Amino acid sequence: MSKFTRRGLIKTSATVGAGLAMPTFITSPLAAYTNAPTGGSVTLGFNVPQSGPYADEGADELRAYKLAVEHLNGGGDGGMMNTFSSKSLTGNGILGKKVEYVTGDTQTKSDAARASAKSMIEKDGAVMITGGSSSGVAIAVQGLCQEAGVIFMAGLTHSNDTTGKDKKANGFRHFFNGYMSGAALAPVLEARYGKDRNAYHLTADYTWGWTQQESIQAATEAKGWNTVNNVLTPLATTDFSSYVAPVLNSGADVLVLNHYGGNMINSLTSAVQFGLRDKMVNGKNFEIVVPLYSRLMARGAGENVKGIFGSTNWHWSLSDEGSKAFVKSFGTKYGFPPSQAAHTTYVQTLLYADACERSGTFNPCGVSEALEGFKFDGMGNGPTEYRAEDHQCFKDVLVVKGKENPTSEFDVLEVVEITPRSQVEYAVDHPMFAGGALGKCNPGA
Amino acid sequence: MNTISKADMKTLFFVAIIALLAPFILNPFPTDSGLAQFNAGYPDLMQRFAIYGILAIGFNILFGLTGYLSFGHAAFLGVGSYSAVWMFKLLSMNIIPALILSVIVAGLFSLLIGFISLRRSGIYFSILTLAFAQMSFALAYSVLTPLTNGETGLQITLNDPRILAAENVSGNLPVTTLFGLEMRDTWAMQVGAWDFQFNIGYYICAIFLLLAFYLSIRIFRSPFGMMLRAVKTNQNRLNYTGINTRPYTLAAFVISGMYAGLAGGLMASMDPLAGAERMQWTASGEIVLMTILGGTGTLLGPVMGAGFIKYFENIFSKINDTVLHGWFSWMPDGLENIIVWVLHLFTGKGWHLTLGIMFMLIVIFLPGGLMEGMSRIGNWWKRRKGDDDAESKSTTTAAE
Amino acid sequence: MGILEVQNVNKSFGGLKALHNVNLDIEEGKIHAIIGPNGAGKSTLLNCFVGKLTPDTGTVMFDGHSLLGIKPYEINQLGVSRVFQTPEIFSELSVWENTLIPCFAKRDGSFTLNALSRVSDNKDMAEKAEKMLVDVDLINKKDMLASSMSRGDKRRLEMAMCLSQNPKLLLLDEPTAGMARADTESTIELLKSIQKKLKITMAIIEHDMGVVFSLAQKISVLAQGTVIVEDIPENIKGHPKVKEAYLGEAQVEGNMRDD
Repeated sequence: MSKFTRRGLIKTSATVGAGLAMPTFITSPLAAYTNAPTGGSVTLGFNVPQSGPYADEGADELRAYKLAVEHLNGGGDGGMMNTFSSKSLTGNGILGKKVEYVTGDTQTKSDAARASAKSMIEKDGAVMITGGSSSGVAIAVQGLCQEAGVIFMAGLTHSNDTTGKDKKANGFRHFFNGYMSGAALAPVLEARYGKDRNAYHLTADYTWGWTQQESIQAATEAKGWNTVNNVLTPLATTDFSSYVAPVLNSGADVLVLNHYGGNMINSLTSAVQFGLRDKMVNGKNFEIVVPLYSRLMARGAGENVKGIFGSTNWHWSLSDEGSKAFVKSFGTKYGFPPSQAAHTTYVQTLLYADACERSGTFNPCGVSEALEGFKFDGMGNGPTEYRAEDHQCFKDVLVVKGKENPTSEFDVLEVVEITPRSQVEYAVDHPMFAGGALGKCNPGA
Repeated sequence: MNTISKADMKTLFFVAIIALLAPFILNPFPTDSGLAQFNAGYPDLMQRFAIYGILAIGFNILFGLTGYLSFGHAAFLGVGSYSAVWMFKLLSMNIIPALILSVIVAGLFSLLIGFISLRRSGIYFSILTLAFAQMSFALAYSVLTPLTNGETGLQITLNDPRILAAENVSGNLPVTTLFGLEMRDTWAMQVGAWDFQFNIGYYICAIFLLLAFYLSIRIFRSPFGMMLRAVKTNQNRLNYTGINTRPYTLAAFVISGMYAGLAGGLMASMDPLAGAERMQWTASGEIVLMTILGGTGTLLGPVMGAGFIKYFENIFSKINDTVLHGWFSWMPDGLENIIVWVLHLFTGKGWHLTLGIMFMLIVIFLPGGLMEGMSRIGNWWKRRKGDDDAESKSTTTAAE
Repeated sequence: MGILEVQNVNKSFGGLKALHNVNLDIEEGKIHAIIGPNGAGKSTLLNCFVGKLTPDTGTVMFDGHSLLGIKPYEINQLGVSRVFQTPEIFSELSVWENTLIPCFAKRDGSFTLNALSRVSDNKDMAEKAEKMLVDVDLINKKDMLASSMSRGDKRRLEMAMCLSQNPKLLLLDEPTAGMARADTESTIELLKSIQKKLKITMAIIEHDMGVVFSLAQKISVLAQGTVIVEDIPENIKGHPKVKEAYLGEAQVEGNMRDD
């Protein structure tokens, strides 16, 4: 096996000795925080799902990140930097340092996502991690960033827990959450479908599914609805027919699909194939609701989404200046409009860069201070605030519906109502968000 | 102390030197060079090398010696991780009680699964273990959510009781320690353009790897180990020699389960999170690949196989198109795009493809895994040195 | 009183009666052969001794213990060793390890977690194994891989493995089947010398009459599932019943197996 000659041994030990006695080595500079950038550039880590059920969203997120980096470094047309209410970003990188990035695949698995984020922090020297298209992953990576002492700018994560019981001082979420979806959606559903409804929930079996289901159930029951049943489905499920079949005889007249990405495409298709939408139950038309909608999913589900209600964080058809600027520069670069996942990750990158500029440092504690309670506008959602107590953004929520007559493959959703921020706001200690602690910002090192 | 032979001592010493110098060996390229992409000497990956090394060594005690192919070892890894995180939540952030519980719980769990699965052998045994592992995965993923926190994974929080720990006043999540030594502490040393990282957590893992390796040598050379190899080659004869094979295979199963538990506990000690997906069947399959790739039944092979696979997973998956374009930017545009397009299939998301091809090549041309490759190179080298005595020697060397 | 007593053993498979009221008495210290034409039930009978088959009725007593319903390793621990038709050895291990394993098994019983001592630390076991290999003349091949040996050497090794456990009874299932002439003769010599030196009781199932008549001190002839004659070799030769049983198989005296 090991051919270890005596001579070889002596040689090896001699090199070891030389290595240790080397007089020129310098221990790492006593930086005040993890991965303080020393050269002319700063590295950001984009950690998105490139495989698994949320791969489509991940690919779009990555496009938006690249666009944001281009804009920060002064390339392109500047996008939303021109409409952003804060004017500290000048297209000269961040704090004069050129922005570079590394990417990684989360595989929509907590372990893989953390390993990927760790190598970004330890090997590539990333000073901020962003991404995630699944709440489980976002929460896992947020915890890691808190321990490592870098900022985490959450991407698409909709679970109440991300800024609820699993909130962390180094983590920030721009995206809305399950509670907000419920609060925005319930009045619209009441207006269209009436007070006397029996809902059957199919729910993705993880933190996002649970909290969204809980939120929707609470919001609709407050309007007089009854919840017949809630069935949990594993994230890896691809064939939902065995879950949809029992709905027919349950006495329910509304099916709520707490599914996202590929899951939602499959479960909705299955429900439509079973003829649920053509049925009359309890003298009422059977309806399907998809509380969290995205354009990518709607496109995947095709014809089946027509007339189905849901909520979304942002939609490219919005006509404010910020949205128009973003859609224009994204469209110019990639040839199609961005998804809500792309929007939220683009905005998060800009917000992070802006916070660095305003605080004059990459130190997570400085950045965190600049973001807490920060009020801004011009980023596509109207006036928005990063609440200091839980690092959740508060802004208007869109209620959307699958378009009956789409004009293109991207034009599949129409905005039914823009629910004002006041209607979806909740107290920091709301029971659905209780149980965790933000802790203190951790600069690491 | 005359517990292991000189040759084994040399192997152990060799592993110890490699482990000690890993931060240098794995960082051969200057930090700012284009090849820095291939450096693997950062704490997280080095820890993984050591941890998966332990896992593969343990798996090899079962598969390499008895020939029983378990497709469920990831379950023990996962159970070890969950146990460790619970210790961090309930007791203190010291890794010793966490590791002790991990090994014990994984041992008990493997006793249960082994007791049932070992009623069968061959493919039926493999399928039984696979079924158990998938069952454990499903349990951890949803049914036992209060215990495992489902898909999100079990994490430590500020509100955990931690009855033995001093009150946390910093407001930050506590970090895992060994009597005050923080696992994440890293001492960086800059030599010219190189940047070497010495991480406490890694060296703790490396010490456990050496202990695990030493124990495995002892088992391989013991009468117990000989009986296990006898199980692999002829159970019938063993039965007619007065040996009841069940307790032997069960003992091997439990020992390797405990190794997996230790690996899982260490994993949680380096990063206090336990996710259900580390129990999935793909994770079990990966352990099998590591062992076969390195050389089944050899002492050193599984460790090498583990390193090989983890390297590919962590380094090749990071090479995205931007990096590729950076490498080949000196070429004419058309050619550059073609080369990047071709390489794109094998890097980044495509790392599985590269690994698959490597695995195929190794299994076809080196059935004994990387170890066979090493011994072939060794023999070739000896022959090239070409003394007459070396020649006569190589003819009598039996392939192991 | 013999060391192995078989009384009224019946065994049928479906409607086929394989053994019919078999009675057998093997005396201590003797070589006892069980012969018979193909399909006479020899293998079935042997399998009833070693725990592989359980007779429908009847008893098999060895040294005061019933052999029925217990596992092969328990039968071995009572002192019964077995040589198979094709040598059953640990072919992926060395000759040396092949010999050591039965020594350890004899000392440690059915299971001992002896994981921390080195094999080479057990000097007493090494001495025993070495003596056995000298006895069967394989000592100069001790580092060979067992699978790379000739058929005859494999048989010797298997014999050494059985003998190293000092069995009270050695069962041999066609020990020379498929062997070359020279190997057959050396095996016969080996068995004779073992018997002379160790006085081990042997039960041989054999087809080859040459082997049987040169070894056995007593012969039972099995035909159609029942013992038709039991006597010393001299009386078996030319016995009319035996001739009848072997009808069509040429004369009993020179009947050599030629496959």
